[in-house]
Amino acid sequence: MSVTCEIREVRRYLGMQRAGADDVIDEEIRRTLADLQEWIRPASVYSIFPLTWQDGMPVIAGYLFESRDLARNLKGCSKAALLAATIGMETDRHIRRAQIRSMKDAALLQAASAAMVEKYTDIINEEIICEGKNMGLYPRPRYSPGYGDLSLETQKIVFTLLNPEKHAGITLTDSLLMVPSKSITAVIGLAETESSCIRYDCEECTMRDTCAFRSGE
Amino acid sequence: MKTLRERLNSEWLFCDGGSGTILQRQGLRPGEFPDTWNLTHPEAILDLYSGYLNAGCDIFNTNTFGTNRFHFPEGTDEIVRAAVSLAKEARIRTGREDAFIALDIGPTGKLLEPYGDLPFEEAVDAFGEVIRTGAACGADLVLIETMNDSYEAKAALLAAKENCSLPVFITTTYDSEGRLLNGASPESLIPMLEGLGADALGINCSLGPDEMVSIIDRIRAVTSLPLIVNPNAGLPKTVEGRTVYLVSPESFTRSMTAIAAAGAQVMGGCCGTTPEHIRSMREAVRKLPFVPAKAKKRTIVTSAQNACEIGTRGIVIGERINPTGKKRFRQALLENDLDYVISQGLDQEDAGADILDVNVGVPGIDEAAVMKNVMQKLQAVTSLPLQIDSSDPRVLECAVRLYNGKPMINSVSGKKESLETVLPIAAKYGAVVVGLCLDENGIPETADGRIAIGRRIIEEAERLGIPKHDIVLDGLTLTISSEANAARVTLETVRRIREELGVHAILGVSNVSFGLPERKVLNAAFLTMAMQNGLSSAIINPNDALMMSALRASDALLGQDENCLRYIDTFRESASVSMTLSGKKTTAAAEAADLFGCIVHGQTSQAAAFTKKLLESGTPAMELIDSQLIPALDEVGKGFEKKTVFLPQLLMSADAAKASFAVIKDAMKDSGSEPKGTIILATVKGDIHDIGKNIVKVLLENYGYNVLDLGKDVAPETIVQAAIDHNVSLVGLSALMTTTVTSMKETIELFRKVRPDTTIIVGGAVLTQEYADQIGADAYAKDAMETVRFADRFFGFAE
Repeated sequence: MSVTCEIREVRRYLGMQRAGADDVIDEEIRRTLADLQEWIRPASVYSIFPLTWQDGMPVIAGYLFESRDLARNLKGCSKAALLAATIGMETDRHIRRAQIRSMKDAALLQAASAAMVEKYTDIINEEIICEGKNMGLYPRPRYSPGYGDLSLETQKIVFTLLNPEKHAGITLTDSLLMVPSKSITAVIGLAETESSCIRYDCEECTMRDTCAFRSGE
Repeated sequence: MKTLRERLNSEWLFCDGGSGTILQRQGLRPGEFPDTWNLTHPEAILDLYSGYLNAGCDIFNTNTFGTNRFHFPEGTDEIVRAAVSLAKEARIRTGREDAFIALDIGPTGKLLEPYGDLPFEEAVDAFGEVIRTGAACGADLVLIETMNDSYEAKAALLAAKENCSLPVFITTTYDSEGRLLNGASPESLIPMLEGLGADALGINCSLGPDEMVSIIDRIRAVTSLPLIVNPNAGLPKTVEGRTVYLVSPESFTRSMTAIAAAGAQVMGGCCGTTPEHIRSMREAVRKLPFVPAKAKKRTIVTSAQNACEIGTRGIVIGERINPTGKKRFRQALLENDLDYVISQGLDQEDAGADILDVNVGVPGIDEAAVMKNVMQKLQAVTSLPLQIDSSDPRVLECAVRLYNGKPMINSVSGKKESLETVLPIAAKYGAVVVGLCLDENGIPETADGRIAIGRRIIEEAERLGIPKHDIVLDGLTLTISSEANAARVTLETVRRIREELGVHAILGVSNVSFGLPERKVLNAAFLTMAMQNGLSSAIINPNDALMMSALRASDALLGQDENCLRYIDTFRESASVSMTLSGKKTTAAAEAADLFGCIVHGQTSQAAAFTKKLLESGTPAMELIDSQLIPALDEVGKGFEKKTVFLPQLLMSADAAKASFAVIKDAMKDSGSEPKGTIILATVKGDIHDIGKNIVKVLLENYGYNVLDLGKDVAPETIVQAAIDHNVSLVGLSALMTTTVTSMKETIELFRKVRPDTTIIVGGAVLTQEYADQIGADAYAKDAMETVRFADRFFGFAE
């Protein structure tokens, strides 16, 4: 499957959102994206679970998610989708390979693949939105372990419920990092009532003041 | 009653089907391991087993798919014992004592090193403990299934062979394009599994029977073993956010009947299949005539992703990863500069090598440790299969055990000691082995003598169970300048290896021309003649265009290159390369006129060319560095700090500077300049993302620092010890995630306790100055340039 990704997105991951136009770099990005298209093997798994509440905190499929930020995100939801998505292992191999010869190529690949997995996750997110609509539910912006006060520990719950090791080839290290590195897990709330925002925004992030990759500038 | 080994490949055998859906219907909760039900719901498990036994399956799985120490850290014994004992009970209850209990082994869910954090040996150990218990409790076979990483499949299979004597079946999970999640294909995976001693192998899960057909054909084409096919009940569908499988027993049966005819010997089901699917399939398939699996006798060497078949065309085995006679390479090994070693591999891959020979034998190093390290690093970045080359059997064993794929061993000889030490390693790990036609009496002068030794090697190998097709014989190349007939004898030996002994031949080629001028010409002519005499593989330098041309031309002339495509491609590629190069020049920024400009504009190849020219014209290396390289890097660095230059441009300049330094280093050889200081860099324990650290490394090196790069996922003790051993007072630590900043803190604490006078600078995605202060670091660098600036201040080089 092919995932389209704009040069602008990759420039953001290179910390170049405020840089002027640069044909040489743009050409490099274009070439990197074309290479990546050959290497990515997108895979994902998602499932929609019942959502209940316990002392103001969400409980998904019987598992408590202790996070005020997630609770705010899921307000009004009766179901939640969990998703795990990756663009595969081959990308990691090529990033490592590039580092032997050219850090510039490695940095470009790193940025382009980060942008690419976001784009791919958007596609899966859309599927979930459709699925929700079929059930008469309205989606909330996706929210990932590590955002706000949603601790990385919750990765363990996501992995227990989805088994992405088997279905998408995503594994979790003891230190809760995902391999392949270009992988995303997220919670997507499904509510009975409509909400204006269905995409996550940098403004909600706790890293907003220090992050080099902020969008919208 | 017949044993499983007697029945296998002489009649149809049927496996059971899915269990998840059945147990969920009885109340298994999402995320709950079915394995615990052996203890909490034994009746449900008995019913599950009985359902399949009543449906007529011959082989049924214990409910232990997820039973391993990673899912059950408190222990697995009890679950395994209960699973096998319930299986025995079900067998009695259903009157099916002819059925075989398969100890079910699923993946650990962890990814193995070097990409993940599970060491290979720990995986072997974890599988081993479950297999020992299962075998002791009375399982009849081990069924390793749903493996989606070929490396983990190897660990599990090795564990089974080392911990029991039961038959071992193994099935893996392919995607619709016929690849495992780690990129393995049937062609790359199957030879490895056969070599490791599986009794039957095949495919399960992920796909329905119809989607498996083309993959089954591919497996059938490579395997000599009975083929197991256990599909899902079709492709998964999502209904209201739930995964369901919808293929009916009737439709499943129709598809499986076709698969039986296409050459499967053992059949069952996986996710979504029920006892009804198995019953219906069995009724239909057992009426078909049984066709046993046939031996394929192909010589195949593999990596995780690629297979290379010897005997189809001239196979190029790249000889450059070898310290013999190469000062720079020896130096790199002694200094543990593995990037240099690895880059030699990548260059050969680009030049068209099919397999890489790996030899790291230098006095004064721990050859086994270095071999393992180099091999793993190579396998992480190249998908070419490797030929493990050492005169020390201990090194060979360490390497082939850890190797991901079916390796080649270089080499065994006709000497008694060699036969006794090397062949058992090849047999156990299923390697293709190179046999040298020499023995205690040296190299026979005649082809007769060499053929006799070759024959002896084959006989000894077959005695140990190594199939003949896994032996490749080296007829041995001697120098024509010392013996006029040397080449003729070698060529005759090559021909007879093929014709009389019926195995493939290999040669190291370049020895033939030793002591003569224009060696390349002789080498290329000799290679052509050897191929004419049936040579299948040559150990050569693939960067040598003349040798590669001779090989491609010989392939075309011998009809080993369909439509001469490879030959055409070889020369078309070189034409198109020069075209793109010239095309690029017009679009890129105007070419810089000097080294300074090359570095600033990040023009890597021009930077190297300029450096070479300047050195040749007598410019002293130090002057080059001081007046051009460093000022250029500084200009770019300052631009980066002022945000007029961005990361990709900074790194383009770094790459160009690195290329220039490499030329200088080559020219200066031993008389290297003194580094400005030594810095240790490490990505902390638990963290496996090291691109940031590597960017810092490249920049520090360009600025004249010696970097001791300890790699990623490095324990606090290792970092502290390295600082003590090498007397380094500045240490840079990198961490990506909040979870791994904890180990950064632990590392700093250990330094404070053991070596308080060490200065520690930290960096990484989630770090901030505040965070760095909290964990007690001496400094925080927000990017690579800041680290360079800090180092300059630390060592007293600041402006």
